[in-house]
Amino acid sequence: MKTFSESQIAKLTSLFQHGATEASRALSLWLGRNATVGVDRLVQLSLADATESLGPADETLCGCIMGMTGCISGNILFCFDESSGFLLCDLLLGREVNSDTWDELETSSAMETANIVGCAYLNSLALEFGQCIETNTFSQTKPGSFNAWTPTPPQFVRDYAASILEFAVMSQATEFDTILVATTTFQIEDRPVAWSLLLIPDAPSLDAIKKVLG
Amino acid sequence: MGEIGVRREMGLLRTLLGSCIGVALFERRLKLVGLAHIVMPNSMGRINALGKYADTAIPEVIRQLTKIARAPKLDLTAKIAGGANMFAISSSSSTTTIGEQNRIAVEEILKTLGIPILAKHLGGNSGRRMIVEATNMVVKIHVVGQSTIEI
Repeated sequence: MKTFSESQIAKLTSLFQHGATEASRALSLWLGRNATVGVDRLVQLSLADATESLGPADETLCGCIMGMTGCISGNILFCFDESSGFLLCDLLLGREVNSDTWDELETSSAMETANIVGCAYLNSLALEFGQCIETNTFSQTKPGSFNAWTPTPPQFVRDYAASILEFAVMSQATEFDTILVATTTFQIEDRPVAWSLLLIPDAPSLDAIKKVLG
Repeated sequence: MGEIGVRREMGLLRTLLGSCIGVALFERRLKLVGLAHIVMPNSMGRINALGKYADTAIPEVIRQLTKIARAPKLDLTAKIAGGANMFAISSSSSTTTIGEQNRIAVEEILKTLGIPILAKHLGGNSGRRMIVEATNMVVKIHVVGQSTIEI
């Protein structure tokens, strides 16, 4: 059974595009170069298809996952294959491409990027959804804003794509037979990079989002 | 997630697991194997998505194996894997116990059906690729960054 109608999907896509715009600004500041985050797609997938939404199920991916609690709760997942992940580290650390192991410096770079991009994205969504959602971020404090959405610290993982996704979508999977996943695209100075940002609301949040959308 | 597969003689079944449980059922003499990727312990009476729930997936695998075998009763054994807790995220605290709930449900159902569990590879904090071979009842477990294990 589909969770959202086509018109609701269209409204959500528009809201997520606002989040992507804010994420672009934050990532550009963070990297010190022009970066663009765009909404790739917002789709409802079967359980089997959801676990391949990042590519082949048994491809090894690296990812940083953050939980989110508050009026919108669930998981946000920042994923990349290894070479794309090392590219991120080299951009941040201002060095020629030579990262090849996930040591503390590399994993910290990835996690902090996930934190900055994810927080910017979600704060924008929280403002767009309005209602009782109050925001506070680690890097942007808006006057008159309060804390009602709290992300958990990012955690780094290197595992099979399907295994990572399975955990991230589990809340939806326990309630529904389809999974709502929003994926994004990244460009650095007009060059596409194979990073993915997935926003995966949990089951109770999907109900809350539906009420907001009408 | 939530899918079932059966094979006879020459054939492989594979699945990728996180917190879900993979249940492989073997009929050694007839060289049959079935594999279920179980997401939740209890269907609460739901009749669709049979492969998703332990209490419907396991009987459904048995039904499909019985149909292929054209035999009234099969001598089945089981090997199970999965149930990892990959992320300690407080927002999903209810789902971090799903792996353990699935394990308990699977083991109880197999015990009730009189199907012995020959091997297990459970828990931890990593995903698994589970490959099941019909001919020799071997289950291979692949974990990223580790050597392949046979159970």
